[in-house]
Order: sequence, then structure tokens, then C-alpha cells
Amino acid sequence: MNWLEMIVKLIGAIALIDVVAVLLASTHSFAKLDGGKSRLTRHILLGLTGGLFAIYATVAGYKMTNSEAQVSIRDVGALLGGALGGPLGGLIAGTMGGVFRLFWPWISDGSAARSLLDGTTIPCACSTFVIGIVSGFLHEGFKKVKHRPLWALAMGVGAEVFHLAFAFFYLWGLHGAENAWNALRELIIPFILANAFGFALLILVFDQMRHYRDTEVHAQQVEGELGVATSIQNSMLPKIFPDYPGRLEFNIAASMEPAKEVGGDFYDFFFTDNDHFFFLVADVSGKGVPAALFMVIAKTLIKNNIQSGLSLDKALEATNQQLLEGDDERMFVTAWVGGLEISTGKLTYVNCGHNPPLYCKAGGQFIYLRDFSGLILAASKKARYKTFELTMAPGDRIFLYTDGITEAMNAQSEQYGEKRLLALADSAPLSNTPLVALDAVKADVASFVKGTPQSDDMTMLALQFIDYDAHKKVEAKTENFEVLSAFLEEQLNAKKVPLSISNKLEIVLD
Amino acid sequence: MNNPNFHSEKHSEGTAVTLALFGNLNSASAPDFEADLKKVLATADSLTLDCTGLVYISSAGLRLFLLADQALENKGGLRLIHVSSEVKEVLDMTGLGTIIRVE
Repeated sequence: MNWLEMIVKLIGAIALIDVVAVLLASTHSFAKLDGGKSRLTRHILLGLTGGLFAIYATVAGYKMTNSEAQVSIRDVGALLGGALGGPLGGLIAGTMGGVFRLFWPWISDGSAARSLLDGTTIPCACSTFVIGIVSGFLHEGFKKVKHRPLWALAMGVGAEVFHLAFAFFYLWGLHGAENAWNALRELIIPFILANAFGFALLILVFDQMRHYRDTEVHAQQVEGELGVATSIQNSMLPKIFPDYPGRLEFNIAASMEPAKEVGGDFYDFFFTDNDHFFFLVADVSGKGVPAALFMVIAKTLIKNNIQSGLSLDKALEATNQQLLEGDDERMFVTAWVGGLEISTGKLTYVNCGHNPPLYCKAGGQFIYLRDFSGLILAASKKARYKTFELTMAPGDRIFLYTDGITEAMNAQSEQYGEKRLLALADSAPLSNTPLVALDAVKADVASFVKGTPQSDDMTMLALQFIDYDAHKKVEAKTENFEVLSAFLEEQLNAKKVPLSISNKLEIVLD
Repeated sequence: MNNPNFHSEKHSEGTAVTLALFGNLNSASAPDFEADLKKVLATADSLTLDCTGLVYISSAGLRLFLLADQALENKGGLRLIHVSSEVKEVLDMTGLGTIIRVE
């Protein structure tokens, strides 16, 4: 016998079935064929695949030179149909493979004169059929076992020992034991090895591909969940600009652009009562999902503590303690929080290790508010915070940001920096509204980094104080004249309106 | 900033370990350094971080300083040496300069 030719033929057949297995296992529509009616489709499909392969393997088998027997891996087809496709798959594959084997001598030789009973045709055809059925009943168990390729190897050996024993006893009955042994002895080893390893390799490849496909599906799910997380995080940040509904005393705008799907930066603003407006910008260490989870806690705690009526410093001390509980990952938050008393313009603020905001008196130049209140939040139980104060007058502006702005890097690893930010702020026209200011900074940073990917979350908040009391509602009654008159006078004086005009307006009011 | 790629070099004298830091310690380089740092912290009694070559540190890097400082709180502690003015600025801004020993 020609060993080389036999090995080449068998490996070729194994390679083909493995390619088919890869295609099947990696196909998403095939993966969806699970449970209920589609499970039936799946089993029929696997049975047909096994059957077609068994036919191919018969054609591609190696015929022994000294006997009618042939070495083929047809049984791999039957095993595939049964072990993966259940009793139905095994029946289909076993029948297709077996029946084709029955007619193969006629097909290959073209002579109808040959006796069907002669040679190994009957036992080979029957074995393939039986192997298909038996492995079909092993399907349920095979689904659950670990190390499936090893079990496949064992099944392959078992199937081929049965196949050879069947053939041996059949030939013994026809031609005697010695002849039977002579016809089969040379092919025992290659027969068992080729089928057992062929089937084991097939299962290995099939499972591997299924694993890759599952990983891919999982990655897609995670991506989908992150998309939802992005919109949840986005919806957590207030977005009622440029004008806070019903409030004309100030103008506010803010934005948060995470570097990844979700970020650790956040801003917030809210009223605690009609006269007290709080606004803040904060930055959790790191970025991505861990930072985003911590951000949710930090944002909730800061707002709750401020709304509970604590003074700013105490509210942040409480937040610090609460954040430290269970912060095993040593995450921390930097935050700048301001509380504006609208009727007086008094701005109280605390800076917990955050970047200094830019502040500008009406008509003046921007400066950095470098007051340091205390340590970043969630770093130490001992942290205490000092409150600072300033008085905002109409037209005063404040700009808060996170280090994603000042530390935005270009391709040369240079940072955008505080100096550029200050220069930009001072070059901006006085008429800029907060919304315009945000866009201007965004554009300037973008032109600085020139397409270098954003490496950190970028957050900004701009607030412009318009007036102490721009929404005063007074009923049009005679007794309210004094109130209106005083208000008008105050407004006119503030805007340095000439006396002649103000007198005229006074008469109109009267 | 001509050396943005972060790496660290370990010099050890028994349980007193010195790590020399180079480049940018940001959220991209922090995870690898965190793994190295945790290995060091498992055995070290005191840790000195030589920041001569440290160009830039982001919040992700500061978190690791804080982590090291707290891990060694009851042992020999954490010490930063040769801190550049840029890094010092960040430590001052965040207040970490008040709890981490900077020499």
C-alpha cells in the first residue's frame, strides 16, 4: 500500500470537513438555530452536512492495493451528524453515508456484475448507519461534557473498533478468519487514527469557532450597553440652557464630552430655594466605566448634601466621608462648587483640588481664582474645606472647566494649558453669551490639538450674572408705585442713564 | 515634552524600594504601572518615587500615588523626590502635596 498517498488523501478530507465546520460554527444565522422549531432545522442541517461529508469521504477514500477494503473517514460524517445533530441528524447522516457506500462499488467501477455481498461493502455501509444512530443518542450527553475534543477522540476510537470488528466477523463468516484478518490488518491503525483524530479535530475547530463567535456577540452586547450608558449619563446632566426657565438674573451653559463612551467628568446646577443657585464642575480620577460609576455617586451625594441645607464646606466634608466609605479602588474626585445668592450677587465657593476657574468682572480682564479650599474628595478622612466668597455684579462672568481642556495635548505632546485659555478668554468679545463662550473654547482646543484623539473627558460650565432682580413681579396698583419707582431708579442708575431720560421714564411710570 | 512614553525602573535595597518614573503617567499608562506598583507594594516597606523623568501626571496617575501612600501608611511610607515644577503644581492644586511627602 502507498502510505503517502493514503495520508495525503485522508488529511485532505479532514481539512475539507474542518472548513465546513468553521463556516457553520461562525455563521450567525446558524447560531440562532437553537430551541423549538429552529432546533429541528439545525439538526437537519447538521445531518445533511454530515451525510454529504460521508459521501465525499467515501469518494476521497484510499483503496487498499491488496484487497477490496478502503480506508476513509466517512464515519466522521456520521459522527458529526449524530453527535451534533442528535438522533435525527445521525439518522440523516448515517443513511446518506451508508446508502452511498452500498452503491459505491458500482458507481466507481461502473460494473453491475459485482456481488453486493462480497467484500466489505455491507459491513461498512451498515456500520456508518449504526454509528450515525448511536452517536445521535449520545448527543445530549455530548452537549454537556467538558473537553469535547477528547470525548470526540474516544467516540471516534469506539466507532472504528466497532466498524472493524463488524467487518472482521462479516468477512470471517464469508471467507474464514485468516482471510478476514489478512484483508483488514493493514488498515486497522490508519483507519482508527484517521477517524478518531479527524472527528476530534472537527469538534475542536467547531467549538473554537463557536467561542470566537460568542465573544464577538458578547462584545457587540457590551458596545450596545455602553451606548445606553452614554445616553443615561447624558440625561443625568441638566440641559436647560441658555436660560434657566423663568430666570433672567443669569445665563448659564455647560457641556461634557467624554473621551470614551462614558466619562468621569460632570457638571451640575440647581436651585435650593428661590434665591440660591448652585453650580459645579467635577472630575473623577481616570475615565471610562469605573469613573462613570463613581461619578454617579459623587454627583448624587454633592447635590443631596447641599440640598439638605448644610453649608457648602460641611456639605463637601460630608460628601468626602461618604465617598470614602467603600472606595477600595482609591478613586477620587476634584470639584469646584459655587453657590450664588442672586438677590445680593454673593458667590460662595469651595475648591476641592480642582482646576482654578476663570473669573471676570464686568468690563475687566479674566483672572484665575486660585483659592484652595482643601484636598480632593475621597482621598483622606481628615480633609476639611475652606469656603471663599466674592460678590458678583451684573455682567460678571465665571468659567469652570476640567483638566481635559487645559491638558488637551497636540501631536507634539504639548498641553493646551492655562495660558492659552486665559488669552482666549480675554480676546473674546464682551457680548459673548455662555453658550458662545463654550463653543469658542471647544473650537480653540480643537484647532490646538489638530485632530489628536481626545485623551480625557472635557467639561465646561460658563455663567454670566445678568442682574440681581430681573424678574420682579409687581401688581399694577397705586400702592405699589413706590416699589416700582425705586426699582426703576436702581436700574437706571446702574446703567448710568442720563438724568433727562430717567426723569421722562419716571413720568411714564407715574 | 520629548519623552511621552511612560516607563519605570526599579532600584531596590531590601524592602526600601525606589522607582524611577519616566514620561507621561496618564490614563493610558496608569493601568500597567498600577500592576507593577501593586507588586512592589506587596513586599515593600517604604517606597521612593523618583520623579526626575516624570513629565506629566494626570488624575489616573495621582490615584496611584494616593494608593501607594495609603498602602504604606503604617509602614515606611511613600516619598516623592526630584519633583518637577509642573508635577508640583498638580500636587498643590489637588492638595495631595499636603498628604504625600514631597522632598
